[in-house]
Formats: sequence, C-alpha cells, structure tokens
Amino acid sequence: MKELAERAVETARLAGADYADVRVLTVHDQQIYVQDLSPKAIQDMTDAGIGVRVLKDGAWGFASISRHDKRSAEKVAREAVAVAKASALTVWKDKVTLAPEPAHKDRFETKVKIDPFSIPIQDKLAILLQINRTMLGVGGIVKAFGTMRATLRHQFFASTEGSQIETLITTVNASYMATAAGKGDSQTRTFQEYPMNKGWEHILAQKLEENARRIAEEAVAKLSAAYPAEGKMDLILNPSHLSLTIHESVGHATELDRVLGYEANFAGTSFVTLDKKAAKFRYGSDIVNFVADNNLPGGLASTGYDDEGVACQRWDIIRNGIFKNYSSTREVAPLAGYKRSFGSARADSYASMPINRIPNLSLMPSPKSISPDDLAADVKNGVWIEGRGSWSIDQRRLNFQFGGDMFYEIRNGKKARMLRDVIYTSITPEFWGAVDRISGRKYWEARGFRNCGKGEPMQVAQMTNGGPWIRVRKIKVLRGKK
Amino acid sequence: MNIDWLKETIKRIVKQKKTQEASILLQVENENLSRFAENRITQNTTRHRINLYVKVCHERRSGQAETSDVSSRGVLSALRKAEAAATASPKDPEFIALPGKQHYLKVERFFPQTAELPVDVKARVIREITAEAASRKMKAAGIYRSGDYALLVANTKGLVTEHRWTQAEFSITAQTADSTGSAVAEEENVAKINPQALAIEAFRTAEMGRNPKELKPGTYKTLLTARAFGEIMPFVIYQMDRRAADEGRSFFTAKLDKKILSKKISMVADPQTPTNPGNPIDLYNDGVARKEAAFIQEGVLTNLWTMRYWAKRQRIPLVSPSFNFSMVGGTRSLDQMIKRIDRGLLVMHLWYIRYVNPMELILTGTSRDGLFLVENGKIKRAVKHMRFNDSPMRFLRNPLSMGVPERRGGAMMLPSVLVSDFNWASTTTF
Repeated sequence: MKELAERAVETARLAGADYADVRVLTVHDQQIYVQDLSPKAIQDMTDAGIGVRVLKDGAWGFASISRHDKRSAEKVAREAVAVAKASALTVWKDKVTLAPEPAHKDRFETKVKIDPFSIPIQDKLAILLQINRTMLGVGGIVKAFGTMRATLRHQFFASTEGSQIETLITTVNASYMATAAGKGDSQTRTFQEYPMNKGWEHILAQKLEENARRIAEEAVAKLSAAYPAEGKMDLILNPSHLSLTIHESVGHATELDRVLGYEANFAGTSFVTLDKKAAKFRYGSDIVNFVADNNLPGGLASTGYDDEGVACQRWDIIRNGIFKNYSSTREVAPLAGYKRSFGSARADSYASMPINRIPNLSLMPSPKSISPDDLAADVKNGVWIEGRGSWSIDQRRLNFQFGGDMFYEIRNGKKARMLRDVIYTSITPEFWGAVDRISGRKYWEARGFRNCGKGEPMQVAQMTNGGPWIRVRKIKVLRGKK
Repeated sequence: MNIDWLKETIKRIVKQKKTQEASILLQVENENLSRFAENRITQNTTRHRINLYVKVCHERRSGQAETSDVSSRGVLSALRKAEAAATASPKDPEFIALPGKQHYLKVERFFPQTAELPVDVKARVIREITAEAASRKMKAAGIYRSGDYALLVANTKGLVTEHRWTQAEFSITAQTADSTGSAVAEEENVAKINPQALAIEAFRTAEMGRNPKELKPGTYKTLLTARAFGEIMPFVIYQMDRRAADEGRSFFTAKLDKKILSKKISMVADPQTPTNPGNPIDLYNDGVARKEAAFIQEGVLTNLWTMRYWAKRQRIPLVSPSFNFSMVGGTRSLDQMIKRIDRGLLVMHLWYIRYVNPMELILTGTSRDGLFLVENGKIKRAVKHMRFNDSPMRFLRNPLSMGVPERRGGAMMLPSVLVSDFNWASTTTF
C-alpha cells in the first residue's frame, strides 16, 4: 500500500499537481441478512482501489481505479491532474487554499478485543435465526428480519506534504425487526442498529437474543395501541430516538460546506449561516451542550485521522445553548476564519472525494443524576418516544418531522398506555430551545449511523450521535394516520 | 471486460466450482462527475470501477462474495469465499435454484457521444452557465455527469448476457438571497440534454421565487410538476411487493384486480419503451429477463412485483421489480395546467420524502426550489416552503388533470398532476 501511495503522489507531483493526496484502500465487509427462517444473503465483500486527489491552479481533480498496481496508480495520478486542469477553467477567483496541517507519520487501529471476522458465519447465522424463530413464535408476528455486519477498512494515506498514515478501522453492528399484522393494520418494532468501531464484544454486549421476545410482543401490542391526541404536548425522547434528531437538526446543519453552498444542489444548505457565529446565535436552551469528539472511544468517526490526514479532535458545537463552531474540511475551514480544519473530511471509498461529514456529535448529559422517570415526573400530558421511525427535514435544516419506534402516553407524571403512529414536528432552534431537562450520564448512549447519505456522487458515511434522554416542552404532535 | 471474458470466466468456474451451481455478475463503471457550487467547480470525480459478484448454490444453500480483483486469481478467491459462506449456511427453506438460459428484450441504451464526452467540454459548459449566474447576481450549483456502464451476467446453467449503456445528467440549482430554482435532466444520450435551457429554467424559477410569503398550512389544490410527482412514485413502487401484500403488511393487501385509483392512472414497466428504455436484466432475481408488466390499468391494480421464491410458492408469474416505468398522462403542458387553477399551489420539486404510514402509504416531505401561489390561472407570488403529509393512493383516486408525460430520473415517464386537496401540514421559515 505504502509503495503504491508513494508512487501515485510522486506521479501527480511530476504531472504538475500543486498538492496531491492518495488513499490506497481495501475494505472487507461481511454482511448477513436473515428473513423469517431463511438465510437470505451471506456476503463476503472485498473492495479495493486507489483514489488520487490533486490541486492544480487552485482547482480540484480526482481520479480513482479499482486496482492495486503501480501502473494503475500512475494512470489515475496523471488523470487526476488532467481533471484538475479542466476544473481550473471555472476557477478565476476563490481558488482552493487548504488550512495548514502538520505532516503526520502514524498508524491508527480500532481497539478490538474479539476480531468479528474470527467468529464463524455459522455462529452469527445461528444467533440471527434463533432471534427470528423466537419472534415468529409470538402470535401475530408475520415477518422477522435480522442483519449483522462487520467491516474492516484498511487505508494508507499519503500526501505531497509528507503525511503517511495507515488506518485500520473495524466497525460492527446488528439489528432485527418484527412485523405484526392484523385488525387491518401492520406494525413493526425494531431492535435498533447500534453500530460502533469495536469488535465482536460489542455485539455480545447488546443482549440480542434476550430482547427478541419482548420486541415481537411489543410489535403485536402496537396493533391494539391507541392513537395519539393531536396538539402541543411535552415529549420525553430516548437516546436511540434522539440520535436521529441530533443528526438531522444539528449535525447536518453545522457542516460548514453546506453553510457555504457546496451542497446547494443536493443535500441542501443550512440556516446556520456564517454571521451566526459572531452573533452568538441561540440554538437551544441553556442546558443544551453539543460536543464533537472524533476521539470518542468506539465512535464511528474515531479513526485517528480523517481522509485528508487531519488528526481527530474534540471541539464545541453548541455551548450553553449558544452556537460555537462548525465541522469542517481543510478547504472550507479558512473560509470561516479557522486556522485549522476540525478534521471532518470523509470519503466512503477509494472512488470518492472526501467531503465535509458530521463528526461524532453528542448532546452532553446533565451533571445531575436525573433518570428518564424523573423527566416524566411533572409532565401532565405528554408522549414518551423510543427508537427511530419516519424522519424528514427541509433542505436548510429547519422544519422537521419525526416518528419513532415505540410510544407511550404520559399522564400526570407517569408512563401510561401504549400509543401508535405518533409523529411530531418543529423548527430546529424552537425545538432545542424547548429542552428543559436532560438525564444524567448513566443514561447517555453512543448511538450512531452507518448510512448517512450526502454528496454527488452520493456517498454514505458513518458517525456516532450520542445523547441522554431529554424532555422537550410543548411540541406539536400529529397522528400519522388518516 | 466483454462477453468473451464473461464466457471464458464462467467456463473456468464450471471447472473450479465445488458447488452445484454458480453465477457471476460484473458491474463496470467509467464515469466523470463535475460538481459545481458558488459558481465554480468544487469537485471533479473520475471513476474506473469494476466489481464482481459471485453467487454459489449447493444443496439448498447459497453464499455470495464480491471482489474488485477480476484476475483469474481474484475470481477464484471470490468463488472460494462464496463457497465458504454457502457451506456455513443451514439449508434455506426459501431456496430457489439459479435460472437457466434467458431470452432478453433488445434495448439500445449506449451512445458513444455520452461515453466520450470530455471533461474539459463539461467544464466549459459549467463556466458559461456559472458566468451567466454571476451576471444575474445568482449562485449556481449542480452537476454535469457522464459515463458508460455495463452489466455482465452468467451462470453455470447457461444464462449469459450483457447490457451496456451510457448516462448523462445535468442538474442546476440557482440561488438568490431568498429563493432557489432548480432543473435537472438525465438521459442515455447526452445530445438530448440542453444544459443552457435547464440553467435558464432554474434562473427563472429562482427569480420568481424571490420574496416568498408564508401561507397557512392546510389542504390546497396543488399542481405537482412531473419532477415532483416522479419523486413520489418510487415510494409507491417500492411498496408494490406481492409478498408483503399477501402477508397482510402492505397498503396493497387484498387489492389485486380491484380499482384503487382513478381511471386516468395506468402504469406499465417495459424496458423497451422507446422514450423510456431500461435495463432488460432483473438483478433482484438472479439475472432473469425482464418482461413488460402492467401494474395499474385504468385505475385497477393488475400486478405487484415478486421475487422468484414467492412467485414459485404462490404459483404466480414472476413480475420483476422495476423503478423503470411509464405512466399515461394528458396532453397539456405545465403552463396549460397552471391556467386550469382558480386558486392553488404549484410545487416544483419535493425533498426528503419518507414514509409516515406504509399501510396507508402516507408520505411526508417538503417543497423545494419553488412553491408558488396560483390564482386565476396565473402565478401570483412565491410561498414559503411547506411540509406535506399525504398519500398518493388517496389523491390519485381523483386527480383533476394530468399533463404531458415527461422523462424523469432517467427511468420514469410520468405527467404533472393537478390534485384537488393536497395536504400541506406545516410551514418552514424560508
């Protein structure tokens, strides 16, 4: 890998690149899908290639190839320079200038106690099939799905600035879902994906099999649950649910490339415009603190370095409700006055150019030992929401609408009867401004995503969006059914 | 990589395999995507990508492997990995053997001028358009993509085929201080795309969108452009799963052969449609040949798509899943459709559509790049964007009018649709 990377960097330099970086990458991905009692797919995938990114006359060029040989490395390096020359035809001002980053020579590897690829496929299948068997044994369940995935991403990064960084990132996840049908309705309940950069030990810790019957029984119970009353009411949201709200309304909104218009044609822009930093924009209530931390143990964006060789960091996004910082790449950081990138450039394969991605972004817990039940204690009329459901947000990340996976009514401070088909809608700063209580550290969870879509060509990225339980006052609740 | 390579490789696999059956699928991509924003190219990505998928079947078990190494050694390694996966699997109660030789529909989708479009030609087009945007005090963002692609499929039971095609896409979003407008076209033949005309359309929409005013959420007569309608319909197609319907977990449960929509609605999937050609290979079903299938005929649900196992179990014909489909429309242009509105909304583009309730096929999403109040057949003013919560299965029961079908997403032919009471549920701030 090192030799190929060096060859490509040198070829790009000789071809006239002002700057070049190269990622030589091999991804080993094992995915298992089970539907009912059928092992639907057992896939062992290896995707390998070289991606070369160059700057020439202030413009980008990128070329990639699914091969690992010297001739291919040279070919794509020269092609990237040619592409950059074409890009430069459009760049008569605003030439790309990269925020400085020291040259790093390093190696980073995910801490793994049990190699997930060492676990026989038979054992993984046995777990998933047993879970499905258990769920299908519950009366009313018509469908069971289960999945397990392990990925090892081995990358060698090198640049004309002298960086040479080898990373080995291991990610695992498992989830399953039961569908109940009857009484003219169909309801699902999911043991939700909880991916982390860890080994098989993370799968073992989730107690997958122990929860299967409960998940199935809850899916069936949802068929008889009441529909919510509509109107403004208080919400109690759990970390699994909240991870998506955080991701969509804070994570994407504070990506600096969106703010600057780089995603205007696809993923959208952001309401968190550059003036909001100096204006100390109030994003949420005083108790709302968001921290980005790409060194979070087990975090999906904890990779040692990002995909342009910037060391992973920890920084404030929102402190005491006030907006503080964006996530950034080396290209966009200087455009907002930053002297160094926060290290949020990620590419989903050797064939993609790194783009600004959400870091490991978490809502900080309360320093007090507040439990979820404490949050509900003085709620007269509210809804308790667990897990992720339907989700949608406008392109500037303001108007959003979320569902969930499990709902309960809250009556006079107590969790009461089960509900179904609950959705709620709000405007981002109004929502975070209405957060009036947050649970303690004991209830904080590092939930995350492996499928965050952005960019053209579309790329998927992974990041952790952790959080505690929260209480939000007077949010508009709707019934997701006619 | 061509059909000769495919035949040679499958011959080698016949000798090397330790299982009863094996198949290979090769995907080839040579693509450049020039991406612009802030009136300049911000990314320019070229890809030469090959991925080989090997599937093996043995004693009611199967396993799959993927590799980007298509050398003899790489193929053999993938074969062995697939075999290991199959060996590890218990017998599959839903196992289905690989299909035999197929007869594919002839579809011509390869245009050399698209495959050979130079990157600097695209850059010059982008330069011209972004300069025009700047002269209008707008910012333009978008993509200009072109490439050639191939699928090569073979198995040890005699199935051998390849499909090559090209694709080009130009899209643009024009931004003013308080509005956006956008336009997009995607075609196999780049000559059918006129980037300058698309840019003008985006500039005009952005201009009309200035100074938007809030409108109270509620039900409004709404004209969905073909683009907006084309953003909704894939969510309908995805739900048209025969198995889900048969198992009682779908909107389409117990609705086959029943009239569920207006007589004006007909939807056919046929890869040979001259104005909307598609891939003739069904990749969801081990590479069988796609056939013409009518899903909705004059409002009657006539077919749902199936997988091979379910078709066999239910003893029904296989209907391939496909997002390549064509709908019947009317004869009116968008302007003529607008003239039919006494008071209502025109929505140009929809964004972030998701299911709210799959059983009722209720969807949510927001308007984007142009939402306009129409009064007495004319666009009166721009409206701040809104979120909808509605079901196409409801509003397509009685659409007021449908426009001329247009090609959208490089795979769909569908019309604009005028709906009497589209449900706009909440508003946003811009």
